Amino acid sequence: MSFEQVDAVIVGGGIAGALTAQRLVEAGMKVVVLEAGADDNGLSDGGWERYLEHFHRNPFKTPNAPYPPNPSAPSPSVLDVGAPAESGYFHQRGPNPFRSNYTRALGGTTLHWLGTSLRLTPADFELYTRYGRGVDWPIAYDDLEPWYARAEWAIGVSGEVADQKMHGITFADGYQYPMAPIPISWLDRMLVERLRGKHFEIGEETISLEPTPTPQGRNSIPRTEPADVAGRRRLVYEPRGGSVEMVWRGQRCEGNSSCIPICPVKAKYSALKTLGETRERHPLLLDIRTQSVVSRLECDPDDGRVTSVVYKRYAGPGDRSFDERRIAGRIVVLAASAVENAKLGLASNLRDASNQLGRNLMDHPFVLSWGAADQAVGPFRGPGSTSGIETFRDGAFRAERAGFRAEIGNWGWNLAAGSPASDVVRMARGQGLRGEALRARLRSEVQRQVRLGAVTEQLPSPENRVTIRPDIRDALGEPRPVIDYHIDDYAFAGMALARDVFSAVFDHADIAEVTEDDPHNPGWVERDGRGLVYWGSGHLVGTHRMGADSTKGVTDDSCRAFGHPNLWMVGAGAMPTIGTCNPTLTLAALTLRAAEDMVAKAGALG
Amino acid sequence: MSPTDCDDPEFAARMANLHGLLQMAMRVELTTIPLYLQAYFSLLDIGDGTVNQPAREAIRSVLVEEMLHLTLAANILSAVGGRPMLDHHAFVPRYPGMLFPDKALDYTVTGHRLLRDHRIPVRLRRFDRDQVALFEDIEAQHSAKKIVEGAIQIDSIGRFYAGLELELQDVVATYGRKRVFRGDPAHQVGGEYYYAAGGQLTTIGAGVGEPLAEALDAIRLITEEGEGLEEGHDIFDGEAIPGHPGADIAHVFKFREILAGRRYRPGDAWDGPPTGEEMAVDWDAAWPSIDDPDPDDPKLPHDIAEAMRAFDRRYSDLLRQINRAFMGAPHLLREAVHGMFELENMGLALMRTPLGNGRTAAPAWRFVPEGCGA
Repeated sequence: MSFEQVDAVIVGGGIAGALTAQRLVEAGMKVVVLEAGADDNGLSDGGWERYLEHFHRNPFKTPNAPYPPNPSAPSPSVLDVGAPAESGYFHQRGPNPFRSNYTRALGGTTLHWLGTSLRLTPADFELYTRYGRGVDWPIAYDDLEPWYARAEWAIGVSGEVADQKMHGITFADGYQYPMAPIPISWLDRMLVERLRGKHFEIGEETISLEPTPTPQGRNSIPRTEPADVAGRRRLVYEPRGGSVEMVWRGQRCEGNSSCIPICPVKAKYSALKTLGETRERHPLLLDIRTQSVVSRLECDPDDGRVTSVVYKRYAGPGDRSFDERRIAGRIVVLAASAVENAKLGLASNLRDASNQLGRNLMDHPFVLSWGAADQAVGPFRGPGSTSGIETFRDGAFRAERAGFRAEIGNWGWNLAAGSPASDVVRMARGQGLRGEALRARLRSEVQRQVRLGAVTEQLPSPENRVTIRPDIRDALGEPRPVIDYHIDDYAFAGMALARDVFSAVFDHADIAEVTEDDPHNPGWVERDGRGLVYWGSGHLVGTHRMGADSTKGVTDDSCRAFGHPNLWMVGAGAMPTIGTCNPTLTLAALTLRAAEDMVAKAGALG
Repeated sequence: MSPTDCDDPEFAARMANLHGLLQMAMRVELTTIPLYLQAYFSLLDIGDGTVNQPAREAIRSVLVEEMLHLTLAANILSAVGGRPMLDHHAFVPRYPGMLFPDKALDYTVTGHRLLRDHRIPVRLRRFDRDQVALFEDIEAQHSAKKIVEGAIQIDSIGRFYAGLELELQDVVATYGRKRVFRGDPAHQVGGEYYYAAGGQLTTIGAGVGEPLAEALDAIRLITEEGEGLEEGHDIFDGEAIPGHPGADIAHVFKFREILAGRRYRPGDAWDGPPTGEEMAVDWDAAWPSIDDPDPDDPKLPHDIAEAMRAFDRRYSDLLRQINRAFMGAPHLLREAVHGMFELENMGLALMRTPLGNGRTAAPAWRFVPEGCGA
């Protein structure tokens, strides 16, 4: 077995690994990123174009459609996470299915994320103190605020500060997002108009229904005024695409409307941008090794230091042959996603006095409501969502029911009902329409499609967990994640509330609701005679949570593992609760904060 | 014309000549865009999308750089107080035509007349070997510099820009930078409105920089991206091609790769064939669209001729919109994107429309004055 030593070994080439690599390389460290995905990737010559071809040819436009299946480093697919089942990569034990996936390829799940870049609210950090639910974080909003600012500039977020000051979210004086907001959709404009001054009542509480534009990790128009970002003056932001080829340098969002699963012009941020530009600037310091699946960490039995990272360099996707290699780093970072980090931690028997490693797996159960507007609202043009109703992210009701944000979809009923393909089938096969008549009907119906989605909070539960078993393995002999998952009463109550709120929104906005969930759908859940279907949000969170001490969390608040002085576990797995918005910006902020801790401690770890 | 110009007719004439040269530069850039787009459209929606993907991508990457060049030339023209003419009937190229029309020979460089030995007739045609050979001819540097007494050659785009560079330097040396760069900086398009499109869009004298240096940098970017050769750089036989094979090389080399069905690799000689890996080109996998399309051709079915005219109207609206963007309303470039997508859809629809003779329709890219031709 080969052996080598570098300054830092980072497991995973997604956003957490990329931001960590960038910071450590800038501090002069020699960094190796071990990525499980294939050698042929979005930074290879022609790799992005091959992803696009794959996407165009794939009849199922799922979040992983552009990224070729790789049996040597399998990814979960939304097509096989539907039911308690063991057909896919996940071995699901139920009782409810875990419905979200991720991408094991260079760039990680930011290859197919939507780009939503909201900050958590201050209340999200202290759910237990305020509402007696879940747990508090070991840090508060104010601790993370400067890191949010840095993360927004690292990702390249388009947004407006004034729009985002809600639920106590604050911004430092002189701060600006790097780029102007992405224009809101036609549907958003209609809803802004029709929901002005409208409210919803929950007991004593009255909550506004007015939508807010969403900050997004995609290129718009860079601001030309300087901004103060975490104490540093920044001039004009340069939009980027992460490639040396000028024509692929990340264009402005032009409304291709395929952000999930791939932005053809690289307007949307992916970790490839950070990795590509860091490698271009520091080719000798950043070494990205793909087709390198980490099996385990080896630790010093006395002081817990990680002494080596053992990985399998496989010959090619689908090939079972591999070389086993060892590499050591003064710093070792697990940045492989909530599920893979937990899996590796368990496979390495990491010290965990809290007994929380692998537990508290969370997602935002995603509930859809849909209807037909009384006029054309222009779906399927522009990003998947450009506004949300953010008012239900906090309130006294959170003592009893989960908070949520309402994503205003911009792609018609595609998630809800497979539109527009299913509409063509319905009209052609079911109603016998052809030619001009079919086109006219399609245009008139599809143009009126409206869909809302509730990104609903779920509490941390020790029973929702990732484990490994010796008999459940993939082609390389690595453990496949075994998943236990259930939806609790609190989340269900939040989802039911969201449904009621959405019906009220539809009423106010003259949208005829047609929501109809299928009781045979694997995501069907029922309470007190009421049933609904939840989907996954792709937000995998919580499996190695931070804690104030080693009895409460797997790592400290800088993501350093208790009991392993040179090991950091970064990513959304570090979040003690999932909060009320999409987690990528928060995980990026936490990661930048952790990377600063690594730089500070690097000398002592020599 | 300002009082200063009336007091100094010689200066006024020099500035009018400079404006004319810069407008001609914009015209040449604009001439290439429909040519390349026609070939590009003919490669869309064929087979499973993978066939001719490398050729399509090469043409597309050249196209976005031509659009950048057009915008850079517009910024220089604005900086010296000139007016872009994309909204003018006599300005917009017609096909078939010449890359450099006879009108170009009316201008002078440092008092010398312009000379055009190598005429490049341009035709609107689908992707095929002859058309890509035309593209290569358009982008190539022709022959070594020939000294012709009292004349400046404009046998290639690069030579033309070299002349433009000389004239600009001479006018600034003669009259001073303040008098020459007198345009309203607000008329230029800044990088915030236009990026990631084949290079950095720079403004000229609109910031703290020295305007002449910025203008010369912009001109050099244009010629380097086209011919790959810096003016004044003597090329020796066997010298390696400039740029980064595998990443970004000049237009002429991209077209040579298509013709050779092979990629360049680092170290290949600029005057030799590419010797890198094979590049699959299927010359038959393109829509068989008609050559030199003309909506007034009486043999065309009425509805198809109408669709071609609708395309021309949309194209003309787009040019007018871009021209306004170049005259102080840069945000219109963002809205123009809709028109560009529409043109692609309309162009592809024509390319897929059979004419019954084994050929398909195609857009003619004719300029229609506002309110005409409806």
